[in-house]
Amino acid sequence: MFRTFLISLLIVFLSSCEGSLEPYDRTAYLKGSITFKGGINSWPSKSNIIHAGSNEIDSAFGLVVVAFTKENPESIIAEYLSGQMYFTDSLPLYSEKIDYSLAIPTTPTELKLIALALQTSVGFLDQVAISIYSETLGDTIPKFIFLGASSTVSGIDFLVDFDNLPTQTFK
Amino acid sequence: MKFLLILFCICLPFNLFSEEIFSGIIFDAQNNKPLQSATIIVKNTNRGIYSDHQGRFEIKASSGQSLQISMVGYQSQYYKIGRNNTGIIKFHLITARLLLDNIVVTAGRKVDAIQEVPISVSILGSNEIELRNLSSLGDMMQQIPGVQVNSSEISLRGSSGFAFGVGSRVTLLIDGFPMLSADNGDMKFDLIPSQSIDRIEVVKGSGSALYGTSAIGGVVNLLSRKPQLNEYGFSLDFKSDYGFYTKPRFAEWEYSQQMHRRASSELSFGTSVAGLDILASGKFILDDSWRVFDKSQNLSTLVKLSYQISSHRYELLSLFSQTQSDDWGFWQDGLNVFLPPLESDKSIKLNSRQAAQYLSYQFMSSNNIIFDFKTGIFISDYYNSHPSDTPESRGSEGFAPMIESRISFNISDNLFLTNGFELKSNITSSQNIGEREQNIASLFTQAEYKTLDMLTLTSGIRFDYEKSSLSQPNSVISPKLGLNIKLSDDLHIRSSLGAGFRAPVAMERFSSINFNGISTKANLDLVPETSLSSEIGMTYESKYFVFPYFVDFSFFVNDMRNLIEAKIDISDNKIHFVNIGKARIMGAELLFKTLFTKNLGLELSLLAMDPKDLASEQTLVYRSNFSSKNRAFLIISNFRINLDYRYLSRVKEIDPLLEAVVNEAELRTDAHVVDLGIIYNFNFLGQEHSFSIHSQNLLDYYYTETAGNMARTRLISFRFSSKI
Repeated sequence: MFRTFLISLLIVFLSSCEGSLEPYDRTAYLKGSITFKGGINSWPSKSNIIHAGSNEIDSAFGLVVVAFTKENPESIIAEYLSGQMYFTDSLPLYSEKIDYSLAIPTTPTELKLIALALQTSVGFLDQVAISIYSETLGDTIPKFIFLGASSTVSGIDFLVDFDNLPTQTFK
Repeated sequence: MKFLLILFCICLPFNLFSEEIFSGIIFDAQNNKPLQSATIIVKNTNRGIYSDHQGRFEIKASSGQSLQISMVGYQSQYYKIGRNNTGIIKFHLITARLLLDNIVVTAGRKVDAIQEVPISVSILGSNEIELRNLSSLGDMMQQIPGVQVNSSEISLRGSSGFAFGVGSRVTLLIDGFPMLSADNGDMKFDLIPSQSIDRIEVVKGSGSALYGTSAIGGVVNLLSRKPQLNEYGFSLDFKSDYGFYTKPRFAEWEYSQQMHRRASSELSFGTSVAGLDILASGKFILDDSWRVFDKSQNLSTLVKLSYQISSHRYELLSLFSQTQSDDWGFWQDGLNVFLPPLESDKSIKLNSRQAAQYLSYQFMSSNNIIFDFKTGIFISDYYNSHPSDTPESRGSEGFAPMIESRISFNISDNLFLTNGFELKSNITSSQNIGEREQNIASLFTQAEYKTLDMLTLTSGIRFDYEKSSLSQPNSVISPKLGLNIKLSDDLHIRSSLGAGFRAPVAMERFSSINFNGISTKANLDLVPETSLSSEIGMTYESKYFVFPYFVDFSFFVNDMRNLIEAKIDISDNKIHFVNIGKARIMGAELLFKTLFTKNLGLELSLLAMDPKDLASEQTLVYRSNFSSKNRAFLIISNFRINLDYRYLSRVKEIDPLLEAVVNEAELRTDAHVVDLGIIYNFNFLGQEHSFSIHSQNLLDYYYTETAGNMARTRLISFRFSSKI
């Protein structure tokens, strides 16, 4: 009986190890597609030279979806260093349509600006916003997105019109 | 007239010739020391008396009647009075191992055998408190079946959720004196040194018929101990422990390289001078906590003077407690569970003090009229260290004077009557709620009728009149009815129906505070909460082969009306307390105890309940549907091993307000908590000492007690205690 008693206790205690709270992967995902108005032909040619300060693009070195927790980010580097900016790996250039997924490890959080950024030189900081996620596809007023822990939000789509780029919201 | 003469003639022989004074002395069978305050009851009557400090007693009884001699921690003895009983009879009480045979004083405000009361009662004795190294009332209450502790609140069978400690639905008493603060109506867990507690009695179910406001879910009565003096005429108990919280099991949750420690010391001294019993206890606790910015230190003292001369007993009780703690509210988020929110000011301290002074007088006449008188005051204050002109500043002072008088007497051998009145005030002076006063006047009566050697019928009613500053007066009538049927010496059936109420406390009516992003406002229209609880239960004790066992089962329903809950007013986003609709808590509780050998015992309990908000059909917030508390002990030579296991099912619902304020408030789970204690007892220089190792939450199981509040993680402590 004593042995049965001890074994019963052991089973109870071992079973009770299950179910304890533990840190969990809280990464959330934004998913969507990027459509380029005019297709591949709309992309600026690699040899294009444009003037600084204008909204014309001289070259394409990289393409990323970037998300900020601040409504009016001052600079990419500042937001990146303060952990308030998230971005994808570089997406394929010269495509007609691209599907993407952006991982946001720190959740829950609210994203106040989600943009598509084109890297226009070898310098990482030379980014130009070529589309802003908004209520209406192609609009330029940012739409806020709340991301719960471990959630996935789909339909974060972008329409890029190289002939009508949005006002630059970050440097 | 003729009838009265006949009745007089019938009664005359019994009254004049049969009854005689019976004398005795009661000893501890183990050490042959006289036992003070043992209870002597003439069976099947309401006649009873206590033994004095020399263990002596005298009681009027007839030949053929039986005496029951009882004392907490001892097995009761029965003695049938013969025709020629002369001289003084000696009784030697044997220590009760399984506590199957015990007495309670809280259920009926008089001494009763626990099996014979009509309502569920649980007892936690000083031995259990000592063996488990429990120092806070919260930890002690965690051990008791049917009790759920939500941070600083006690819930009996689901009576309470979590309301930041405001408005307890359980009355807290120390030796029968009320100990809820005047401003918040809350209870403090570090009010008295654990060494001064003899036992805790928990009466489950509405008890306002006897105890008035707040006893809507039940009553917790802490009974202070009597000093057990050594051969030199004094007692000295000392214990000291040192422990540490182990690091979190997950690297993501590590918060500090420093070890978080907990240390406490207690000293208790007792003596008797010219019949005056003196007990003085003190406790100091230093606790780094398992969380960051949650440190606390507490000092508490208790002094009790008791004097008994013939049938008169006087008691003076003085308490003082002071606590300083960090102003912890809830966690930062699910990744920083041991850290407060980033924006919280970590330099803020919370200071609280409580002091009480109570006097009681009891007179027990030879013809069994008992007169009780109690008076005293409970003073409490708290304040945080924010400058008083800032909105975050919180502070309050409360004064709760009371006076109570009771007279109890036998109408006949079978009928016992208690009548009394109580006057109580709650006077609050607070920067958040202003100068407020609440007065409650009460009248109560209770009758207990015993008949046929098997039936005890109890009935009672209490009238309370409550008037608060700026509010309309309220009158509440709380009746109760109880029945206990003794089907055999081993089997008792009980049934009870009782009403409860809780008058709104000042903080609920007038609060205006800002805390961790929460703002509150006043509501002068609050009316008292009420409840009606009913219960059917049974106790049975027997043997299976050679193993003694004890079973207690009860089925209960508690209907609550006008529950006071915090709600947000969407017009200004402020929280105010409002009366919400109806709730019903229905459930069943089972307790089973057994001894496999005299050195191996087991106790199991299970509570299943369905706490429902009848308007929304949702489960009431912060109530677990299932809980189980189990403990086992094993004695090998000088070693004793205690193993406790508690289970609480995941609470289905939590407060939506907290969900809005606390990050990841939805993180909660079942609770499985294992406590282990290994105690080594030894004698040195003729004195009893013990050294022990304790681990609370041995498996380091992580669960939340309330939203954003991780319950205590693994604490390992080493204790030395000594009794001289």
